[in-house]
This record gives sequence, structure tokens and C-alpha cells, in this order.
Amino acid sequence: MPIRDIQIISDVGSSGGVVDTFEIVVSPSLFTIQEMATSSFSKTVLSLFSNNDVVARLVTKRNGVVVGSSAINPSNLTFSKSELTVADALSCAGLIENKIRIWVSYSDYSAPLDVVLDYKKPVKVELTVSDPNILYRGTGEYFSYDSTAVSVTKAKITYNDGTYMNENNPTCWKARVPNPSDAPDYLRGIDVIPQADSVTIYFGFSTSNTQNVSQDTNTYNFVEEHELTILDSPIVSYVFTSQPSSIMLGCKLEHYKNDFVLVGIDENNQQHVLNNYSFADNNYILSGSSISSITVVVGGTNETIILDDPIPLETAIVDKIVYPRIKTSYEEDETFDFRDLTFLIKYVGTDYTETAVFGTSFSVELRDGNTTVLTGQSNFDGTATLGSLGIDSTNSGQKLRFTISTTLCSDVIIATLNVFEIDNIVSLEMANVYTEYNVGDKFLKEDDDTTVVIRYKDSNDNLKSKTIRLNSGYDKLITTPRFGETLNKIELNKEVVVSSAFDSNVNTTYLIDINPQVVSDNSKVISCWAMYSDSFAGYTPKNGLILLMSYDEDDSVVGYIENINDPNQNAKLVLLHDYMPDIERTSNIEIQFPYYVEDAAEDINKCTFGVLFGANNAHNRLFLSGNPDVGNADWHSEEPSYIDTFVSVKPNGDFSYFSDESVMYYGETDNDVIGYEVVSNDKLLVLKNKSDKEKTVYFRNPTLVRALDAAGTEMKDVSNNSTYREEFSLTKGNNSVAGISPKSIVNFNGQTLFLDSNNQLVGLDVVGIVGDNQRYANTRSQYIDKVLEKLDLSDAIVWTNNTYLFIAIKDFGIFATQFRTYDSETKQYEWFYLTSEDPTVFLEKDDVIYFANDQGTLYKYVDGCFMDIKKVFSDYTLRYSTDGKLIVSKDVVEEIDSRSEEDFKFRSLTPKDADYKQKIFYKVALMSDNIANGEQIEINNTGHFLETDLELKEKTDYYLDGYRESNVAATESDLQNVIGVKFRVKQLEPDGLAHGNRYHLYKIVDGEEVKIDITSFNNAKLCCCVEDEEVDISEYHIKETDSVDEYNTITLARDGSNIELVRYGAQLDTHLFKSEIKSYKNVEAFYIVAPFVFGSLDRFKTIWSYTITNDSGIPSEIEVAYASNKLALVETRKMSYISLTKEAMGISLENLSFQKIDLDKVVVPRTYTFHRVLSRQKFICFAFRNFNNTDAVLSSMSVDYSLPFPSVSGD
Amino acid sequence: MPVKNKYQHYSLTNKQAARSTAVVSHFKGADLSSPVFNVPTYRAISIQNFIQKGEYVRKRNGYEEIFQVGEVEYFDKFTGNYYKNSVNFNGIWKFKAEDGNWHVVAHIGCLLFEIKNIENNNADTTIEPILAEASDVAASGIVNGVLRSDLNRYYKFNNYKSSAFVGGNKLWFLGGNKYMCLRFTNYGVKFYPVENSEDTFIPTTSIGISYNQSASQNREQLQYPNKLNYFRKNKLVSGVGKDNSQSQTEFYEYTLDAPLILNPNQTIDSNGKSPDIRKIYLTIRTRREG
Repeated sequence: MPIRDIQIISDVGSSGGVVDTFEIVVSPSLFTIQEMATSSFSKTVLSLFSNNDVVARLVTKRNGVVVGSSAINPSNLTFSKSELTVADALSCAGLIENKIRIWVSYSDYSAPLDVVLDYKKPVKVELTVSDPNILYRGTGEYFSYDSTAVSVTKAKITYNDGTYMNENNPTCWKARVPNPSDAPDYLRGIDVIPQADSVTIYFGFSTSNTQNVSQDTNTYNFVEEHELTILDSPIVSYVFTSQPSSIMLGCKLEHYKNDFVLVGIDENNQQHVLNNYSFADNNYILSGSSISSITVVVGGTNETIILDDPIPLETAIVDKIVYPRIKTSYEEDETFDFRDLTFLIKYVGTDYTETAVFGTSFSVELRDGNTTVLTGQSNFDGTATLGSLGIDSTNSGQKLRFTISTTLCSDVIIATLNVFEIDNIVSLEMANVYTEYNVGDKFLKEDDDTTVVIRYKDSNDNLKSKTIRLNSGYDKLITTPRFGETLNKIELNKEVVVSSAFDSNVNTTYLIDINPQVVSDNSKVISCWAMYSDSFAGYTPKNGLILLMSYDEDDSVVGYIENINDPNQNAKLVLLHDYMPDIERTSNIEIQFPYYVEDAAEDINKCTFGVLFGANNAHNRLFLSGNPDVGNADWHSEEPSYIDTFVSVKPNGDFSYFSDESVMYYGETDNDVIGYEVVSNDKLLVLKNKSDKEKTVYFRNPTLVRALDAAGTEMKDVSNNSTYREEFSLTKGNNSVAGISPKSIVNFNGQTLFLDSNNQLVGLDVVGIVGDNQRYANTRSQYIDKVLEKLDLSDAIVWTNNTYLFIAIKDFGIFATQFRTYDSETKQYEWFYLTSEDPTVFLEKDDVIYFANDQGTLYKYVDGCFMDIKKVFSDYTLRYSTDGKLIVSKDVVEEIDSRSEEDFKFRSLTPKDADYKQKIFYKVALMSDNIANGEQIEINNTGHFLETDLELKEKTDYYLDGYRESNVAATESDLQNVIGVKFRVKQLEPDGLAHGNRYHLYKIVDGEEVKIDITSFNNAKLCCCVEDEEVDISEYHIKETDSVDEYNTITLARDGSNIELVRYGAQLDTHLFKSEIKSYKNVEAFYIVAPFVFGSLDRFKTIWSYTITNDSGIPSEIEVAYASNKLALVETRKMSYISLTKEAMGISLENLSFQKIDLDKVVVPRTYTFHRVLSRQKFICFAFRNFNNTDAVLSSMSVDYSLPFPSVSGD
Repeated sequence: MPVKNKYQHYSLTNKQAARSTAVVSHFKGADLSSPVFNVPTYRAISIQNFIQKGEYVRKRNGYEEIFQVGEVEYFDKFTGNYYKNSVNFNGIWKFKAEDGNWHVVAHIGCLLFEIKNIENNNADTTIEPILAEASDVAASGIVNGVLRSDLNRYYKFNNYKSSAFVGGNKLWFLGGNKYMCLRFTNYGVKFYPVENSEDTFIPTTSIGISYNQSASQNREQLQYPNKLNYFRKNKLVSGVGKDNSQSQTEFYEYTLDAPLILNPNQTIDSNGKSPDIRKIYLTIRTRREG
């Protein structure tokens, strides 16, 4: 029965209005509790009411006017919060804005009660100091204060409730001067204080002992001030009591400061060692023989001290001369300007340096070995060519020598520059090459402007470079061909080698063309272009004309072509003049013109497969077939010799020339050619579709024949040389084995193998004395033929990299073999079955095998990995959810759900150096500056340590985020600074440092181990960045919100635990992350050995033990099981997928109990023996498997067994 | 008379049985054809993911997915029609191109793709169809009645397990409907039908053609016409002198070895030119006068 809402409406009588509105009223509505804060503080809310501090009343109103009020017995009240605790006190902190709201309920009514917790706290401290006349001693700028000599003897603490207490000889006080920047924050023991006319010392008292929790224990209230009284008399004289024995020229006095001891003597003849002074002269000492007086600056005053023993000055020692950065290799005629040289001279023990320039501080001479060849020249202005200086470029022993005199040294310094240093050529590089040569030219002729960059090391191992023209005759380079050699042969792309004369391995190459020298001085070339015209000079043929105009002679008409577009007449070229050939009776005119035939190219365009084949095992002709319109034919490419007036070029690998004459029709029927392969003896195998009307195996044999034209005349080229044609004569094979598709024919290290229409992999064998074209097709797949015959091989792909051969069969897997397993006796390969992804194409690149399938997925085999890794997702579409997860598409979640047996890994594809806004962050813990808050990480009050029960990692970057925390105590600008604050931690042994009961103590460091103060980041989040490492998805959740905005999320996990993602800094939750999810599935391998029958099946045997051996040294794991129809079946893991040949085996392998052996020790051989007596076995069948992500090796196994002697019962 | 019990059994205890050891090493592949009890014990009667590696039969390597190709929407460069490409791989090849780099190319669906950075373990692997011309990018066309200008124009080939061949650092690809050439040069990609392309060989079909009524006639056939190029070259000999027995003509007329037929699908512009006419040229080598 439905419940209805009933509203009572009274008459509007004399009393009028709505009757009986009830309210609960709490007074006072804001209540302050003042209590001494102790860690055990707690107060029940009920006690507030029981003590009548707060009263709740039930008020009745009529028409808004109070008509009745009665106090409610506190025991009838209920509260939303029954107890106020220390934690409440912390959050409330005595501030009205932070009041705690408690709901007081009675019957159906409730009212709020706001409670502010205010604590009894000191508001004033008065100190009594032991000696109000504090003295100081010392002199100069600073003086010392001894805080141990004076102390606070009494503290009077006044509290906010008006009470006070006295504390005699308190221990928690400090003294300081007004401006802490001039001195330590607090004065400790004897401290140095800056001097001033009047210095006041402030005394502070820490209120921590009074348990005012809102106060930092290091904060002192400075409540007393005292002025210092001077104790000592001023200094009247100064003296050095110690001084250096000598001073090096080029140094400053400051350099020797440690050797000086300055003492001040006061009026009482008291000595004070002064450290706080400087030297008035801060310059380098560059001259003189000794120093007899030194002026020091003490307390801002210059004091000159006469030295009793003058300090001698020592001559400087040249440390090194820095050579000027100049060119050091010159042509002889190149001008060398010595005025550009500047030497930098450095001295030992000082950073004083000096420069030397030509004319004033150095002179130059040329020396050959030790002999001076040239010593300056009269009127030498500093510029000269090396030639004019007499330098012989071929004499590398010659050196320019510079005599440098310096101001600090009386000695002359010799600096030398090698004139020619190129004897260590490191590399050569062509900068500009000239390629145009004709036969008869000399190599590196005058207009050859080829340049080469020589990179070489000078005597100081500095890498330098120099660019020279190759034909400058520089003898440190050797060219092949040699400089000046006559080029006699036509040769395109002739390689020129330029190498170092010192090391022929240092070389570079470039290509030149040596063209025939047919363009002699007495010949010229007229090149013409074409245009259509209806008529020429009054001649108007039916289809018009194509006019031929000379480029060179102002577009003058040279001739024309007529019979345009007339298929019944050959075109006619008409020239207006006759031209004498430059070489008599040679073809001197070339015309290029179109003879368009519709669809002429379609024969080639529609070809679907082919093979490279050629004479003498050259694979330089492309045979194409598979044209569905002409399935029984093929065409092959021809050599595209460019017969040109200028040059004859035979480019390799140009498959753009197929002539009509190259066509070949195979067999007697239009049955299609199915594929090709090159077989031994330079033959091409051509296979046709299966047919019972004709042979299906054909061979093409290459031969070279002299080319004949249609009339049977021998064809010659422009140079009147015989031309040859390749012919590929046809031979029929002797059998009718038929291929299936061009994708299942391969050459496996010389063996032609193909899938035939009988579902076998066959090879063609030459048997006995039959001719080479008489080959017998034999199966190479005997061991798997029973399986193959049941499969549809029409789309099967046979692929090989000449090590492995794969038969990839759709919806089945791969049969694979390795070339070395071929048994030449039986002509059989060993076959292995591999699971796969239905590959349709394979590729090997850099020893990696790639494959792809019809689903558009590209894979590669990974060496050393024994898991199949697939992408589940890779896109830009992930973003934060509001609950610490990532929002993904429903498809992704469904796919992950459906593959529960696989592992999934998540990886962000955001680069590590990307802006933080593009990265994914997760929360490690919330930080607090107080342990009582119960957060996981406490900021130690110094701000430089973290205390936590969590284990933090020293090599992980941690980030601070407090941007959205409403109760962060830091200022807005602090928060801005938080973004990007990154640090690492160093774990410390918890020692005497004050910390709570947390297990770990960490020091905060940044990259340079500089401390970061994070004191102000109370309530900030300690975060990590997902991009720093891959994250595993170990579990995930799907969450649905309302139907409009349905979304699916994944939860990331690290080390098995879920992590909570957080928006970091100014990140937006709309940002899309590029990331990927991959699945990892162990490769599941098994090998079931054929049954052991130990002779025959009719006798029982006893198996005593069996031993597995691994002598490969390859770390591996294997599990072993055995089966026998005799054995009781133990219910264990079911291997239902051993169904490949299960029906055929007749052996029960439904239940196999596998025992794992780790053969991962690198001890060879490693053996493992199972001692298990299995009696009365007719046979035993072993199974090996490895379903882990590890390698497995089958090496050897031995079975220890016996055939029991028969005994006769009843004897 | 008691009948002697003839029941025999093998005793494990009465007498010590002679122990033997059967050893299997050199494990080989499977024999899935023979009856199980005829298979020697060094072969498998059931096998999965074991393969001969070096001297041992070992577990196969795992494979890793590198890339998932998406369905590409495009306009057919031949017809201009809109298509969505299927993702089945039909062929994959690698070759060292003229730019000196190795390139990996795949025929997927109806399009030819280049796979870049295949070895970089999918960090920056890209698979994109190969453009023939820069102007094919963002070509426009009508798709389901809507003008689309965000799709590219690509050559559409037959969707079949195709073949391609490497020659001259170029890839020669059988599209099933077009015979194509793919080049990567230092100046960019060139991808074009071989048929009548500017790089397709033009044979010199005849040499030694002299003019009509010339004193000597010795024309010779040299190369066969190219099915892939309807252009041809003829070489002529001039300056051989006219045969005085014949009637003289004013000009020098040469009969070429084939009709001149222009591609009827091209139009001749007002300057008397068409693509075919632009490719017609004449070169004369002659003695310099004086």
C-alpha cells in the first residue's frame, strides 16, 4: 500500500497562520572550548550539554512566532560526532573559520552546533637575564660575543586566559642580533657579531615546553633586549708575525694570504690575531725585486705595515705559450702576415697572462733543423710569402722560430711553428667533382676543378682540414688514375680513387665519365623540337605535319614528319637539307617518335608473378607471367642497350624493356603457368597448373645467339659489331607434378621445392643417368604428409631464409624445417610444428625475421624471448578518470577481459623529455608535517627529511604536487613553485635525529645533492611519473556511470599493487595520453616422444628410472611426463590441445603429470634422474613441455629398464 | 594325474633381471605420418613450438607485434574513385635504393606502403602508402555525395599475393593491373607505372636508314619495340648522295620504320604540342662548315 505525504493545514482563525512548526535550537550556536592541549585530549560532545555549557531546546512556532520552548534532556540528544579529539583540534586550530560542525538531533529535528577548539596558550613571555650588561671583546669589523657567559635565569609566561607561570632557569632560550643576515640566526657559544655603534642582543624563549602545538619548536619569541657593553680596548698597531719567504712575479698578494699572519696589538699590549682583513693592493705584481711594506684593510681602514724583512720577488717561470689560432699550412705563394700573430704566454703558479705581438715582443727566424737559415730581414714589415722567406715546401724539417721576450722573464722564449704539417692524413672527402672526360683527355686536365678536403692531424694531434684542387699537384695525395694519365677507354662511372700518400687505406672515391671523343672540332649537333602544324610552305597534307625546329638556329624549320596518325603508312621524315656526317657513312641522325598501339603494355601490366633469371646464373632478366588473360605465356625483359650517337650504356637492373619477341607459350593447352624457380645448371623451372593433358614441368635454358633481323641478316650495332640476343630455349620436363601457387615455390639453398597439387612439398631430383631435364619429383615432407593431405594448402606460403623453411598454412600454423636436418639418403627434412598468427608474408632484415598477416598485423621474432607479445591498444585516446584510473574504450576493456590467461603491460609513449603536462603521474603518498595526522609520509620538521613506513626508492624521481589540496598551508606562489619540484631520496639509518615511530628515514636530495626545503608542502602529494618506467596492468576495473557518459577504465598496478593516478600540477583531466597496452603470453611448447617398446610390444618390461640430460649449456627448463595405456590416470593438468595427432596415436595422453626440471645451471652436462619403478609396462611414452617464458632444450634421455626372466608358476 | 600349471609370468624377485639402458639423443622432428609404434623414439609423435636450432631441438622464439595497419581511405589515382583499403598483407620486400638506404615496402590490400623504422621496435615505426606525386596529398573528391579533401590519391592495385623484384636499386612491382617502378633517390620518391614513363627504355628499332632515292640503301633492324613504351628511335644516314638514276626531289625524304601514331587520348594544344609531340625529337650530327 503506497505511503502518502499528509500535510496539515489549519483554519486561519484568530490565532491565525500555520500551527506547530518545531525547531531544535542550540545555544550558543558557536561554542568555544578552551583546554590545555595534551596528546590525550578528548571531550565528549554530550558533556558540553550535560554541563549546561550548551543547551538544546525544542522550539514550537506558529506562523513564524515562537509559542513554546522546552529544554531537551541531553540524554535524548544524538550527535553526528560524539567526541572531539586532538585530530579535531589540529584541524580547527582555534580559528572560527575552521570550526567543527556537529549535528545535534532530537526526534525528527536537528540543528547545527559549531564548535571551535581554542587552547590555553602563552601570549607573553618575560625573561630575566643573568647579567644585563653584556660585554664584548675584539676589534675591527667584528667582535665576539660569549653566550655562555650570560644566560636567562627566569621566564614568566602569561597565558591567554590571564594566568601566568614562572619558569626558573629555563633551558629553552636563545639569543640573537636584530638582523640575522649579518650573523647566525641564533648565537651559539662564542659567535662573531658585526660591529656597530650600538648592538642589541635579543633573548628569545621557546614556548614548546608549554605544549602549544601550533608552535614550531624552533620558533622563539624574542621578548628581551639588552645592549652590549664594550669590554676590550681598541687596536693601536698592526704587525705581520708570519710572512712568505718569497713572492713570484705575476702573482697577487692575495695569492699568499695563507702565509701571512696579521696581529693587532691593543692599548694593553694585548695581541689579537686578525683574520678579517684584505690587501689594499689587489693587482698582479709585475716588477721589482722585493716588497718592503704592505697595506692591509682592517675594519675599513688602511693600515700600512713596514716589513722588518722585505720579501724578495722571484722571476716568473713561463708555463706554456699558447699558439695563436692561425692557419698552419700555406701554399708557397700565400702571404703569411706575422702581424696577425698573437702569442698568449702563461706562467707557472699564477693566472696572469701576457700577449706577444710582432714587432714589439717577438721576432721571427727560419730554421732548418738546428741551423738558422734566416734571421730576420732588413725592412721586413711582417708580411711575406713563405716562398720569399726561402721556405722550401718540400722540406718538412724547416720550422719558423719566434723569439719572444716577455716583461716578466728576462729569458728569451723560443716558440716554433711547423710550416708544413700534413703528414698524418685522417680522411679525405670530395668537395666538388668534375666528371666530363672524353677519350684522349689527360686525367686532371686544366679545367678539372675537382677539390678534395684533406682532414689531417698536426703535430699536436689537433684535427685540421685543408681544401685543395686535385690537379694542384699536391704530392701527399695519390690518385688512380694518375695525374696526367691519358684516358684511352670509353667508360661511364669510372671510379677514381684518391688516397693518402702515407696510408692507402685513407682514401675516397668518385666517379667520372669517359665519353667517346666524337665531338670533334669539325662537327656540330643540331637538336630539334617538334610542333604540330596543318601546313608548311603551302603544303597541306590530310593529317597535317609535325614540324621540326632547331633549338640553335632561332627555331628555324629543319624539316617535318608527314603521314601523321596513318596506320597504313610508315611515317616520312623530310629534311630541307642534306647533312654531311662528321664520320662518313655512319648513322648521324636520330629521330624519336611514337607508334601508339592501344593496350600494348597490358600483357605486362597484368602479370602477377615472375622470377629473375639469366644466362650464366646472372639474375638480370625478369620473367613475368600470371597474366589472367594469357595464363600460359610469359615474357622476359631484355637488355636495354642505349645505342646513342654519343655513348653506349648498358645499365644493369633496368627491367623496363619487354619486347613482343620475348613471349613464350608453354604446353599445348591454355592451362596456366603457376610459378617459377631457378634450378641448378642454369635452368629456369616453369611449373604449370595440374593437367592430365600435358606435361606441367618445363625448363628454359639460356643461350646467346647472333641477332638476325626479320630478313635473316645479321644485325650489327652502330659500331658495326655483331649483336647478340639472349635466347631462352624451352625444354619439356618428364612429369606432370603441378604447383599450387607462385607463393609456394622456393629455392632452399639450391633445392627447388614446391607444394604440389597432391599436398606434398616436393623437390626435383636427377636420378641415375637420365638427362638433366628429366627430373623426378619426390616428396620432402614424408613425415608430415598425412597431416598435409588433410589441409587446404591453396593459400599456403612457403618461405625460406636459407636456414629455415616455413610452410605457413592458414588456420593451422607453420610447419618448419632447418636446412641442416636434410637427410640426403632419404631426401627428407625434419619437420616441426609452430603456432603462429597465420602469416602471409615474411621478411628477413638484419637477421630478424618479420612476418605479417591478413589482419594487417606485423610481427617479428625476438631472439631470446619466449613470450608472444601482442598489442592490445596503441593510441592517443587515454585520459585520467576522476578516480585515479585511465579511461579507455570499451573495446580495450573487453579485449583484456577476454584474454584473462595473458599478462598485460602498459607503456606510455610520451617521451621522457616531454612537458610534464603530457605525462602520467601517480600518488605514492600524502605528506604531512605532523605524524599525528596519520598520513603515510611525515615531513621532518627540518624540511629535509621524510619519515615513513613506506619504502621509497633511491633511484626514482619523486615529484611534489599540492595544487588542488585545499588545506595546503603554502602560499599560491609556493604552489607554482611546486610544479616541477623533483627530487630523489637517500635512506638514512635512523639515528639520534628526532623522528617518530616510522620505519624509514629518508634524506631529500636533488641531482646535485642539494637539499630542497619542502617544509611548506604539508599535505602535498608525493608522486611518481609513469614515464619513468613501464607499468604492468595486473588488474583493471570497469566502471559505468550514467548512460549518457558511459566510460570504461583500467587501473594501473605496480609491483602487484594498484596505483592511484593523480592530475599533477596544472594538468587537465581532458589531456589525452599516447600509450600502448601489450599482452604477454608464454610460448607453450611440447614434444611427445614416440613410445618406447624396448624390442616388442608383447612383453612386459620394468622401467627402473629415466634420466634427462642437457649437455648444451643453454639455460633452460623442461617438464617431463610419461604415459602408458597401462598406467592409472592421475587427474592433473589436462593437455587437451595435444590433439594434433591424438586420434592417430591411440595412446591416452589425456592426463599427463609433468614434473619440472630446471636445467638452467651452466654445468655441462646437467642430468636429472627420476627413480621410479614402473612395472609391467608394454611401452612407455614420454612427453616434454615448457609452458613458461624460458627456453627449453631437448638434448638426450636414457631409460633404465629390464626384461624380467620368465618363471613358471607351480615349479 | 595332476596337470602341471603351464602359466608363465615374469618374476621381478626370483632372479635379478638384467638391466638395460635405452638412450635417445639427437632428437629429430615429428613423424606424423607413420603408425605411432613404428616411429623411432628420437622422433615426436606430437609436437608444438619445438624446432631445430643449431644442434639442438629447442623452443621457438617468441614473436612481438610491431604494428597494426589501419584501413586507409583514399582516391584511386587511376579512376579517382573512393576506396577504403583492406589491411591484408600481400607482399613485403626490402631493397637498397639509389639513396643508399635500405627501404622496406609492403603491398597491403590494394596499396603499396613504405614501412619506416621497422627495426626500431615500434617506437616510431610508420606504415604509410607511397605517394606518386606531392599533388596527390589531400586531393579532393566526392565520397557518398560529400566532398572530401582530406584524402590522398594513391595507385590502386589488385588485392592479391603479389611479387616485386629489385633491379638497379629500384623495386619493380607487379600490381596485377600495373607494372610499377619504385625509386628512392636523393631527390625524393618516384613511384610510377613503367608503361611509357620518362625512364622507360626507348629502343632503337632501325639504323642506317638513308633517304629515298639515295645512292645506297642499307637500313638494318636493330632492337625490337618495347611493349612498355610506344616510342621508338630510328637512326638515319645523310650525305650519301642521291641516286642520279632516280628523279630528283627537292628535299631529303626518309621513310621511318613505323607509322607515327599519337596517343589518341591526348589533345594537341594551340601551340601545336601534346605530351607525345613534346617527346618527339630530332638530332643531326654534321660536319662543321668551313
